Amino acid sequence: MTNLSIQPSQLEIQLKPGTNYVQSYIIKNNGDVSVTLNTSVDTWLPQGLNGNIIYLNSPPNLNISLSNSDLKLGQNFILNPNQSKQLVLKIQGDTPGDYYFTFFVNQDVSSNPSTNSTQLIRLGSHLLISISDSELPTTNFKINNFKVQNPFIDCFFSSVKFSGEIQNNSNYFDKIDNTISISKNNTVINKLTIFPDNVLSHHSRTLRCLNDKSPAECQLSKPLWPGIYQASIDNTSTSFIVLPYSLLIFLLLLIIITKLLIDKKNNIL
Amino acid sequence: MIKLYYLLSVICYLLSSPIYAQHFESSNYNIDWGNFNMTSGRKSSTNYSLTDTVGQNAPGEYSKTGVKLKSGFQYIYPFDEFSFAIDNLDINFGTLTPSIATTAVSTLTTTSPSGLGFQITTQENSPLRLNSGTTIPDVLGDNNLASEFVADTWTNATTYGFGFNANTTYFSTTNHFRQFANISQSEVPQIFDSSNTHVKNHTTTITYKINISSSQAAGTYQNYIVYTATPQY
Repeated sequence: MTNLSIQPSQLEIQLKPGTNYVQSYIIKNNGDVSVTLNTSVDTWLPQGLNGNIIYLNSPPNLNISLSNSDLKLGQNFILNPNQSKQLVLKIQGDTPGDYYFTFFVNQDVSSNPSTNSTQLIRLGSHLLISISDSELPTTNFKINNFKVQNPFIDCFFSSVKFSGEIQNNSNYFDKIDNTISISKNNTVINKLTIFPDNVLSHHSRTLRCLNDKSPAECQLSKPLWPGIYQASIDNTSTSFIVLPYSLLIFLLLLIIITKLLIDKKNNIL
Repeated sequence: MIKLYYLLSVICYLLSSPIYAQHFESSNYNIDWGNFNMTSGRKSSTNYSLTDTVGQNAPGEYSKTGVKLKSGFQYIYPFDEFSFAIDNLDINFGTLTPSIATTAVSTLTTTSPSGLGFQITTQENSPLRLNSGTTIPDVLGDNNLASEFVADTWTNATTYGFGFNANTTYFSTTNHFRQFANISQSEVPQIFDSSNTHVKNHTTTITYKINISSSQAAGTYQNYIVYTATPQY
C-alpha cells in the first residue's frame, strides 16, 4: 500500500511585492513500502462553485523553489515506511494580483516495476497567494440568487432552506465573513453563520453555513410561528411565509369527511 | 556539619524534577534549545480535547516587510493533514481472451482536512501499449460516447478498449465506464470523485475493464495511471 500525507494541506498568504515567504511542509510515508517521490508546483483555475479546480498544465508565474539544501523541485527522494521529511518551499513574487497553485508530491514512475497498469499517486497542497501593497487588500463580495428553496413552509414539519452564491468582484481572494439574519416583524430572531469558504478573485462560491465547525446546508429549523419572515445578507434579502399548512389540510379533510358523513346520513333518512 | 551538607545535597539531587530541553531536527537543521516551553501538547478527557502551549517567551503576531509571523503560543491549527492512499501499485490483467472482458479492482483512501472537501482526478501516460507502439485504445463505450469527461455503458462483448468505473456519483451505474485522460494527447485530467465536506478514510473503488478483439497483437501492454488528490480550496 502507498499512503502519503502532507501538512499543511493549504496555505493562504498575502505578500508585499518583492518579498519572500518560506513555508515548511511535512511529507509522511504512512504506507508499508518505500516510495520514491519528487515535487512540483502546478497552476490551476477554479471549476464550478464548490471548490473544485482544474489544472492548466502551465508552470507557475511566481518564483517558487525548495530551500532544502539537498533537494530541488522535481528531484527524486526516497521516503521509507513511517518516515517523514520536511520540505521548505520559498515563494517570491513581484506583480500584484492573485496566484493559485498546488504544491505536489508525486510518486515517481521509475521506482515501480509494472505488469500492466502501474498506479501512482499525487498528493497536493494548495497555495492561495495574494500579492498586494496593502496587508488587507479590499475585497468586494456580492450575493447572487439568494432565495428560499422550498416555497411552501409548514410551521410544524418544514425547515427553511436557503441557497445562493457569493461572488468576489475584487482582484484578491478572501474568506466569507458574514451571517444570514432572519427577522420577523422587523425583529431579528435568528442568525446563521455563513461558512468561511474562500472565494477566489472574480469567482463565486455556493452559499453554505457553519454547523459544528463543518459546512452544512443553510437552513432554519422547525418549528416556526406562522407569519412573514425576511432573510437578509447585508443588503440582499428574501421573504418567505410560514403557515400551518398541515393543520389547514387536516381541518379541511375533517370538514370534507364530516360533510360526506352528514350527506350520507341525510340520504339514508 | 559537612556530612549534613552532603546528605542534604544528595537528598535534593534525588528529589529534584528533571529539566527537559527541546530538540528539533530536519534534514538540514538541528536546534537544541533549553527553554522553549514549560509544557505543551494534546490533553483529552471523555468530553474534552485540549491542545496548549505554556511558558513561551515573546509570543505574539509580528509583521514586517510584508511577511506575517505568528510566534510563540499556538494559534489555531490553520489546516489539518491531508492523506491519500492506494492499496496496490500494479494492476495485472493476466492473459486476455478476445471478446471476453477482464476486470481488476483497486481502492483509494482519502482523508481531507477538517472543514474542507477533496477531489480526485486521474490520467494515463498513454493508452496501454507495447514497446512497438501498438495500443489497446481507450474505450468508446457501447454508444461511442465515452471520453475522459463522459461515462458510457459498456456491456457489449464486441466493444473493445480500456476504461474505468468508480463507485462515485460521477458514474450512473457500475456498467458505465470512462477513459483515462491521455496526457500524451494533452487531455486534461477530470474529476471522478469529490466531496464538498470533510471526509475521513473515504474509500473509492476503481474498477478497470479491458476487452480486446481477436486482431489485437499479442504482447505485454503497459501504461501508468496517476491519481491526483487535492483538497477543495
